[in-house]
Amino acid sequence: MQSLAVKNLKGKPVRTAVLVTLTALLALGVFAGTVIITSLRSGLGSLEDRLGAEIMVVPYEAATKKSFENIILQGSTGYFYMEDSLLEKVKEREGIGQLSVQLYLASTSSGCCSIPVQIIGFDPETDFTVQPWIKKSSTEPLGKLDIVVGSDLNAFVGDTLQFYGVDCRVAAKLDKTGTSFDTTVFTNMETIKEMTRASLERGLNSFKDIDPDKAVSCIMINTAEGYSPDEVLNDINLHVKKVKAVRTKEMISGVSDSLGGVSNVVGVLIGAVWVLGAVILLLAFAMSVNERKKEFAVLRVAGASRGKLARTVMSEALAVGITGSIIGIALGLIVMLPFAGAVEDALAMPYLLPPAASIIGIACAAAAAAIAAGMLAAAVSALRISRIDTGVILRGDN
Amino acid sequence: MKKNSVRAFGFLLTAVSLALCAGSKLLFHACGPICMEGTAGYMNCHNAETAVCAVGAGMVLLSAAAAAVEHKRISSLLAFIVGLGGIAAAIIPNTVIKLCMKEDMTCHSVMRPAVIIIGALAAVCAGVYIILINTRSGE
Repeated sequence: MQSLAVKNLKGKPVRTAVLVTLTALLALGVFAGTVIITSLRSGLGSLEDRLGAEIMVVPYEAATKKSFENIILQGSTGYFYMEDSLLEKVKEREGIGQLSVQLYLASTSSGCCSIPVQIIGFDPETDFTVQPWIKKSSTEPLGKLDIVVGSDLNAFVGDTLQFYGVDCRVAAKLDKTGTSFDTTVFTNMETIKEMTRASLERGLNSFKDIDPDKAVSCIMINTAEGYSPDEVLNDINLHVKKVKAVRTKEMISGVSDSLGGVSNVVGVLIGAVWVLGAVILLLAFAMSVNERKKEFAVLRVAGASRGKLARTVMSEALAVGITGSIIGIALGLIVMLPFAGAVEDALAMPYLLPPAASIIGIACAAAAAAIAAGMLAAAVSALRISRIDTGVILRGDN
Repeated sequence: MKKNSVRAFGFLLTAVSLALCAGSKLLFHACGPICMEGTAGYMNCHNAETAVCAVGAGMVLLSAAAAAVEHKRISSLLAFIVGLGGIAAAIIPNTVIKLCMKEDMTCHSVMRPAVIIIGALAAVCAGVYIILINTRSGE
């Protein structure tokens, strides 16, 4: 009876192609949508982990400008500075547990393939946000003119990159985070000061009236035990002038809200595609069975039981479902994996593809959803077939 | 039936080659010009795009010739060269010619995967075409 189902499918190639295409689109929609939602959620989780500090203290003017959030969240290049005397004032406040400074610098496009990148300098002795990530890729301490590059930078360990004419050795490459840090260069304070001096010699970067050797861009803070981040943040904002303390969670709340919106829209679209696909398949199977009433009646006369007819229809639906799902999932993999960067660009949000095992799981679930929709649609037609009145149909009264 | 399959794959091979040649300039092109030290210029990825387009143009001519030539051995040889061209095109971006610094740029996120997929597709089509020609010759 299974070979009869295959013969039926081969006998009507156009009808089969339409059903396979519909199932493929259904599988593709469910797979691509689920991968997008999962990747956005992974990206947000990664961003939360990656920021690493509870509070960021930046110059007051920087906090009021959009550029600050763009540097941290969108991966734009930029810089802002404050005097390190402010660091001492922040240090004096109560409730500070861990504290480390960072210095920002933006490279210029000075060569054939040297597009501007954000450079972040950190103090290896006090840093608690960057080094835990570097340690996953390299255990060697960073030497002078050593840099660590984000995963989306086209440079590898041992390569030499030039910033403002300063040759730097790539000491490590970070794992993918799906955030703006993937296109950032990290280095120690000694190296970034060297780059800063080189940039000033070339008349680039503006420190205004701040001494470049005493400039810092950002102070990263984790609160001490017994203190809440809000308590420490309010204390800094009240007592230290010219700076603004910002809670990192609040910074990413905007991204989180947008992500929630996108997730909901994609989720609704997946549901709509599935329901629409199931309805179209239901109609397609119903029309197909209607056309083939006489064929089924002849089979009944030839001795096929009602159950066997129903099984034939279900076997056809299964064969169509499996073929369509394989095509849909294959297309989904071809689009979603190699073009993940383009999807990330289009969404402009943290986007981190889930691990291979999760992608396989999503592919299996999407295939199951598409096959289930087809089987469900075919089940209705199979039920109708099992109830046909052979005599009436063969007489041509119906 | 086999003759039709050979014709179809000959046409497909030419179409895929054309997609590689024209697509690299029109659809999945490299990054646009940027301002470098005050003057507008192209980055390295532009050279990769030009190389892919040139390889694609060669593939179009050879695949059209393979489809037109009746001699099976010559046709097979031409298709084989087109297949090699597809593989060569796939490895041009970033392996043969280094692309831009950031991997979130168009040359990495769009051009490179598209060229790899179409190049691989051309190689597969060329392989199937050669098999079909030789199967037909064995009949």
